[in-house]
Amino acid sequence: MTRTWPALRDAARLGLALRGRGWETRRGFIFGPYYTRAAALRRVIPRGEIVAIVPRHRSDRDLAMFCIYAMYPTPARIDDEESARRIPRPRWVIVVDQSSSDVLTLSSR
Amino acid sequence: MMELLTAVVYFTAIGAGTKSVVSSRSETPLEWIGTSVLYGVGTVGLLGQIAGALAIPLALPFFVALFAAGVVAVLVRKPWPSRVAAKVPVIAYAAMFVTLIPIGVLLLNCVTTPVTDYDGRVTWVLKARAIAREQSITGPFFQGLSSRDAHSHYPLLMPVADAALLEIAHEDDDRAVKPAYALIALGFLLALCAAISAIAPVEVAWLITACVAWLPQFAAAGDGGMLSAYSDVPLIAFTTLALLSILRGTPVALGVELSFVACVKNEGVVVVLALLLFAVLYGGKRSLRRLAVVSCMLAVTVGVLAFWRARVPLEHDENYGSLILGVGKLFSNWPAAARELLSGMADVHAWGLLWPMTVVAFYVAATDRRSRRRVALAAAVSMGLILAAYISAYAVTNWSVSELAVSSANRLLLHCVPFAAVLLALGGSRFIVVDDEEGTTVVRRPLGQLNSTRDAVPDRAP
Repeated sequence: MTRTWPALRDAARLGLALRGRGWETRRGFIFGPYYTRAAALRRVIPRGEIVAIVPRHRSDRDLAMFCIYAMYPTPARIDDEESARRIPRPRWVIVVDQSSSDVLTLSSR
Repeated sequence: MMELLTAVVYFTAIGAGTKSVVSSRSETPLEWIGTSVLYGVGTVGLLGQIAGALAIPLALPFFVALFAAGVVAVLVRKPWPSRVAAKVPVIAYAAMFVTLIPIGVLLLNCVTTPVTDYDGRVTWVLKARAIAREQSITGPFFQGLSSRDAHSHYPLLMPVADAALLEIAHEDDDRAVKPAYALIALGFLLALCAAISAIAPVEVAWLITACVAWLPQFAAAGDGGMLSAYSDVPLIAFTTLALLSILRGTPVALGVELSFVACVKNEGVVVVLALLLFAVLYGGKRSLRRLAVVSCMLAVTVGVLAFWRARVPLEHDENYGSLILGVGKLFSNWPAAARELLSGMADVHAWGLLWPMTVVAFYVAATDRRSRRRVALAAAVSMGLILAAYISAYAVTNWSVSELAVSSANRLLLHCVPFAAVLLALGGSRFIVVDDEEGTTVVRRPLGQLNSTRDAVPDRAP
């Protein structure tokens, strides 16, 4: 009860605060700058091109995983040795770095 | 809001239709709603998993055909709920009201808030979006060629059900799939109440349902709770559905429901074994022949699942099938693994007093009359089997056990909640004092007269 009530109250408040906004705006509101940036990059990268997502630090790995979801349907993978063996190295690379102001930086080879 | 209405109509029609084919038991209106929704999600997910494994395209015509079949079954068989009005005590109404608060938040959340949890985004809904886009469960995504397919051998019941909603909505936005998880949680609570009502007075059923609805791990946990897009709540929902069939005795329905359990998560196989054990201990020797029919249905499902798994590479997951063969590691790590998992039961922030109360309820039920003792023993042994299997998985994993426990122990313990609820119902109903049917004398109702319109615990499963 002591944990459930505050959690339900917060969920209800968030739901009420999000009403009337577009769904992309809601995601930007909840997830912060990384999501807005990912949505912008999704529009820049040509359809069907594979993107490698590179976490700058170990602590950036979770955000890199969420980037795959945010980038979908753009094919994306975490750039590690295991995936590099299976999939050709892509032209587009997004570096995830939560310590930088942009959070996500796009580069193309 | 349109997404929620679509999900309600779609899953309820398919679920009511399927249920009318596999079961003829009478249901109260609330039980009918809960079980219909669960059957709807389960049927779409299970048939989609089977069709996908057989390379049938999971396109819009497939999902529309399921809906059409459900509607035809409903129109032909008219599987409406019972209209017999049962006497509901005031305390049950109070518990219903308390239960409505988390349900209200759940419904508000599903129409306003996108998927925000970890596994929802990394695993489950990403798979759903891939199925909707590729109309296949063996396409490039599942071969690991286009994206990161986390836990590539996880069964796909929930992603396929989600994909149906995405295809009907003709979009790729996860707002279309949120209602499926909300309806599952709602269906779970209604099915839980119905299952407990089969062995305890209705006021006990609603009190326990309200307590479960307010359990922090169920209602408040961001990862794995009712507001998330994890598959743990669907797993306990289908487990409860199967418990309901065991307690009410509908073997064909049980076969279908165990297939749902097996196809919703990897851990489903363990829970299926626990449910079969529960059925044997509860029903005795006479149940074995009926369980043979159930096992045949289950074998087909597990066979199809194995056939599909052989066609997709195992990625981003542990191969527990081979790890469990490491007997030395298993025995040496077992005590530490048991400590990590079971210490989660003492976490009052996640569980309140659920687990201590379950132990007390088991003691109370175990010292009661024989029929109650048998059910209590069945529930306790089934829970023990699940816990032993999970501890063994912890013991052999390549992960650090303490790290793994932080992210998964409470979610795994959630899988035992339906069995704990059965024990609480047995313990709680032993001492409850209620008005008898004549309404004048206050007595403790004997076991055989729990509800005038329901069966109490029978000596053997019908």
